[in-house]
Amino acid sequence: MGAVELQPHRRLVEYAVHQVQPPSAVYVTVDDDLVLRFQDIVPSSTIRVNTRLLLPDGRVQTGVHSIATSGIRTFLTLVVDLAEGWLLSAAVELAATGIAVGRVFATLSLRVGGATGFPAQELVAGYLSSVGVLSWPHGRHDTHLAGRGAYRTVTGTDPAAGAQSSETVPTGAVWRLLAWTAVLVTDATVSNRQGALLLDDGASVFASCVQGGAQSASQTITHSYMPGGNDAIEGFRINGPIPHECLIPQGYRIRTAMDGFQAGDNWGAPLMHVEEWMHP
Amino acid sequence: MTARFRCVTCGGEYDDESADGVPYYHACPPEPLDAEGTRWRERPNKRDENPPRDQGPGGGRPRAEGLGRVRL
Repeated sequence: MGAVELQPHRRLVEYAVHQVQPPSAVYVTVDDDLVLRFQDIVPSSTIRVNTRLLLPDGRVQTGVHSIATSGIRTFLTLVVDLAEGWLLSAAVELAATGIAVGRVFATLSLRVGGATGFPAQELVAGYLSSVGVLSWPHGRHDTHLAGRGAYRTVTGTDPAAGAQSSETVPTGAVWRLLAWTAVLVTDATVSNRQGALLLDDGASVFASCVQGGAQSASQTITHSYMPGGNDAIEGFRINGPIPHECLIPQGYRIRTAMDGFQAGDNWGAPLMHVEEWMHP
Repeated sequence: MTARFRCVTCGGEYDDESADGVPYYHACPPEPLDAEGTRWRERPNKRDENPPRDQGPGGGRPRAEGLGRVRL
């Protein structure tokens, strides 16, 4: 075979190398600032806002701005003052290891006019994780219910004897209940106890998840509820169903009710497996 | 560090922190008025440790103190 002869290609596109205009559409002044707003359940950690700003004299100014997390789902705000120039990039990162998605929801916006001004543009919105940075441009604009939440196992209150179990979805959270389990010890009073797991909105019960099996006197039985739970009774276990994909926001309750319940009957602390998102 | 408490209002016992380090907020259960649990009333002096929505970081003020709690 003969040698391949490469034909020179004449480029069709030419680029300016002098007097290049800024690549960013976001021109900012000293009257503008960046506002980070977030909620989290990551105690004792730090969130950073990293910026790159092209100044009028051609220099690129970088900035790193930090704020501590609250860990209690409350809204926190960090304001980043800006110089005049063009915003090249902005990134929001969680400075922590081993934190999965669903535990920090953040928005970064451009605000005009300072504290009394108004948001001019949302740059990014979404959940952070140890490996997931929110960055602009080309960032995400998610809602607080986007994607998978944080998978958590929560141990509730161990009620006093004679009291039903009740757990309130915490302020600032939305839960999807994946499983609920607790042990009930019954006293010697002869009676069949037949239970249910109730979901209420703080005022009205909207789901009553009833078990088919019953617990009699002087027994220790583990009661469990899960989507697809099929009323199974086996030895010292009774199962029951709960709704699939049932999102329960802050202030809603997960509680037991029991026909035949006696003053000496005693629930243990419930163990709940939930998927959690932030509630704005 | 996790601490265990007993609610003076309802007698329930709980840890103030979940296994993943997230604070746990106790709220007293309602008092059922029937076996089905669909009729109920809030407990007198109900304790609800959920912080008010506008509370800043580091605060420990519950929404409703009730009769308080004792450390176990």
